[in-house]
Amino acid sequence: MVEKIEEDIFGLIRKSSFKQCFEKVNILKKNYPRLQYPNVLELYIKYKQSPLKFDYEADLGKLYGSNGSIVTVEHETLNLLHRFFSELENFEEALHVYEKANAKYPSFELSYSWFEKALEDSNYKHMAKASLQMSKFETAAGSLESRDFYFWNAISTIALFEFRTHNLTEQEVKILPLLTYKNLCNCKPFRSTQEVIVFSSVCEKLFPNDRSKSDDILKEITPHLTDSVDLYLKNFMLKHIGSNNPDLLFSNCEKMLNKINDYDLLKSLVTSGKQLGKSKDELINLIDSLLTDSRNSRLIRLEIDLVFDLTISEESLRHYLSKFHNKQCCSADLLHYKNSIDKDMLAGLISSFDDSDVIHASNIFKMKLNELDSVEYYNRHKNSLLEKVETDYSANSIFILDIVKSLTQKDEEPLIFDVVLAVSILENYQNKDSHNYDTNVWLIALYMYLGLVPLAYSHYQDLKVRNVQTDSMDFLLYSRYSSLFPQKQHDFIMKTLPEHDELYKSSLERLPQLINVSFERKAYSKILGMLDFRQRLEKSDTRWLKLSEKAQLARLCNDKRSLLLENLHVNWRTVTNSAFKQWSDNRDWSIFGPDIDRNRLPAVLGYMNLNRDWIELNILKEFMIESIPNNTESPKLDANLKKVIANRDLNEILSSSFTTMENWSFRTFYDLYSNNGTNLNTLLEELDFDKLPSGTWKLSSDYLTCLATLKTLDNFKRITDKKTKQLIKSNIQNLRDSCDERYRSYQKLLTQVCNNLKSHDGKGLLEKLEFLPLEADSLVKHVLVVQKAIRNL
Amino acid sequence: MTTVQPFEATDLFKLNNVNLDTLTENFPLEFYFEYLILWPELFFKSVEYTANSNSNHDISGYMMAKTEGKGQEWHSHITAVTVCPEFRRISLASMLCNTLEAITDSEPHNVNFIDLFVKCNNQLAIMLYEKLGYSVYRRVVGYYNSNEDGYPETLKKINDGKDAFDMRKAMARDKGQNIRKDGRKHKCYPHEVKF
Repeated sequence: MVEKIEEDIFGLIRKSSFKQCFEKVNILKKNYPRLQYPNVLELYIKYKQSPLKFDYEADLGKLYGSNGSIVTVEHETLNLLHRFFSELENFEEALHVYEKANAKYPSFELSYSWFEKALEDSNYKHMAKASLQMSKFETAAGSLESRDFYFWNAISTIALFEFRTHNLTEQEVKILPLLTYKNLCNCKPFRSTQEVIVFSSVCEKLFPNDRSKSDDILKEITPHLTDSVDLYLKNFMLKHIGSNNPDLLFSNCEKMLNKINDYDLLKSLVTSGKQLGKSKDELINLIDSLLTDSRNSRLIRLEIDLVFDLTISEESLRHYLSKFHNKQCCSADLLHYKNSIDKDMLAGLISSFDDSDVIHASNIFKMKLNELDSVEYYNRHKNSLLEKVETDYSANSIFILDIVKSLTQKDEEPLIFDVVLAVSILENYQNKDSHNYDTNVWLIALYMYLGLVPLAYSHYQDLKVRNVQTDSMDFLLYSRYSSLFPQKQHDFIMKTLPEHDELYKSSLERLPQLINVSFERKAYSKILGMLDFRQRLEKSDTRWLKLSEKAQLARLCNDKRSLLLENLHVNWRTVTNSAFKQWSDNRDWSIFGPDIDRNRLPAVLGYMNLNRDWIELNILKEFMIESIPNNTESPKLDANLKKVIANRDLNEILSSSFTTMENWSFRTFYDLYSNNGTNLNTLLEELDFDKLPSGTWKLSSDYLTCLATLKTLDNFKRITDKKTKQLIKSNIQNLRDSCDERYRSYQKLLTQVCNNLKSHDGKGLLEKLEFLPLEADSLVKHVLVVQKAIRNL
Repeated sequence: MTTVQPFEATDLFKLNNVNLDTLTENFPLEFYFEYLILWPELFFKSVEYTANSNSNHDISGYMMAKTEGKGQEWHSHITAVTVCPEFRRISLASMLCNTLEAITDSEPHNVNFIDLFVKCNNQLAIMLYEKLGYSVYRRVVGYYNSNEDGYPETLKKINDGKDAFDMRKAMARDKGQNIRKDGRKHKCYPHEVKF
């Protein structure tokens, strides 16, 4: 009954039907006079009705806050209070209601709810407190015993020290590690490897550089090293034995190498072996007896050379190369040791091996030992593309990408001719090596550079990006998407985007529950990683850039935004609450190769060059736009703006992170929000449509950013000045009138470039590679698709 | 130079060089978490110290496995073992399989055997597993059937592209009970391989 009425009331709140809300609450009060729930609900409705008039301290704080007079243990009431305080951004109070309830009426169920809520909030301090409370009850839930909660407490405490040290008082820094350590010592003997891992983690992370704790770790893990193989224990062993005990390190490494092949173990075996006075030959023979002939066993000879002679010998290098010169790992392996290898010796040795293999050639090329250029290498090895298994990747892509990057990877804007030439090369190559993603990602990026999103989308589909992978890959396609291809009927937005959003909508929401299960199932070793993962997904750049784009798309398409903004606020609040780390850039920039530096992207990748300032300021721009019609002050928004700007010059931030048009758009809304639009006319007069870019992604981006801004301004009833209104409307009209001509010109430009490919510079290169030039039709057709999507807005 | 390390949830952000491979499955987040939660020791990765220090691609491969079955059928099962293109053909998959064997052939797992499923037409993989000591125990008819194919109605109709070999490697404690010399002749339905 309560649940039904509650559901009704929340529906009514959403519709702002407050009168009916109060009527329903009165029924609840009458039916359940002894419950606190109707009282809290009534307060909540009052708050929702007029948040600015709500007197927090008088209405809520003095009753249910930290020093409030009422303590409740009702599950629904605690839940509602948690929600209420969270919405007010009093996150500490939100959990304190549980703490208070537990202090007055302690029970296992209540402390368990407290733990669950703290986990939901990523509040590790409360998780630690709640789990300690749970350990006080002999009868726990299911198969759990009271001692288990000391391990929950230990993990929560480590998380607190790892991720939220700023949340700790000096006293807590001193006491909590000691308390956690003591509690775990009382749980000895440990019953599983997972328990040993928690204990070892407490010693390692809460008592850094404490030798006695390293000894504690070794004492616990040593018995397990004999009869089991655990990778965490291996790491603890390697880290904590220390250089003063080479005997133990050597024997443990030897023991483990009997079971697993691991380079860390090999390295420690070598260093401890040298300390013990063993010779190079003794170590080589021992390793050969422990391991089968493998990459590690050959590479460790380079390491042995370094440890004993500080230089790598020809013999060891030859031994490695004889087996791996034509394996793709070779260049990666040897580049790691490049400072210790004589380049001439390496060149001489590698050239003594059969050079007919494309992988051998690609290794030479990657190690910059090449005598030929990438075109010559490609031509020498292109026939191998005909012989390979379809799903294999050809090392020929190394040469092709070198050609592509030399054409397009520049600090300044590349020539459209060079980009189209590079696309021609990649399209031809992709036909021969269809599953090669190294080349495909560049093809996608170059199509995006040209503003041909539908073509980029089609190639992106080939990558089959899905599930958690979307968070690290979608920036290729969905950076600035609302101003590049806002076609809502296209699968780009209608199908793929919502499918990929499920990661944040459903999976991210389920994470607290899954982490909770990890505690219950005692998968202790994985929990810190899961907590970190959750925070990184919550604060993911990709997630937030998509959210800001969604809000801009809604403005551009005149869609309703209330629900969208409500969600944006809820998500923003979550991020504000979890004061863990800063934003998390999970975007996989390495996918473009080792030479791409995220902080110095070449101009051709400019469309995806969105930094934290860009993401945060665009979110705040949407909040400003929300506030402008009501002309209401928002202290929270002001505080957020202040925090992002952080004593820097706003204009400088905008110039370095935004395009010129994005910069103008932000300044326009900022002026309206913070300056009552004093400079609005000047800003509108600043617009010079003749200066809009004539092609590439910038054509669509500038056009649509401008249009979205003007349309939003046009919808503001607050702007009443006739001249201003007229200026907005005429700008919209002029911009729209110019749309077709702009895209027609771009089509002509691309057609011209494609024709030039057949007759000028590009022809020579394409002919050398035996590739066909790109036909203009395909490009022009897709410019038209983009144009149609845009001109209807 | 490969070290074997426990797989952490945050590694899921760094798997593109492995998982963009056309033959490698990208599972839902919950599936990866299921393995992290239920079999934390049996989800691990190979890490390369050779890669560029700025690179996000130091993971060269990973193993997802589980333990299941009762009594004589207590075993570990390889769910996924995969290696990125740059580190292929250097026996890295074998190294991951050997590591799993070392882990589950000892305390606290002490399995009787390890098994895996492989498409009957994946000759390359079958040869790799045979080299590692696995042999065919039975043929699972229609194991890789799509929804359109439906559930197999008979064991008589075989298809190398749709059927799987259940391959097993017995540990010493199994005393050969889960090994068949004529495994390819033994056929079963997909529901029979659930433990």
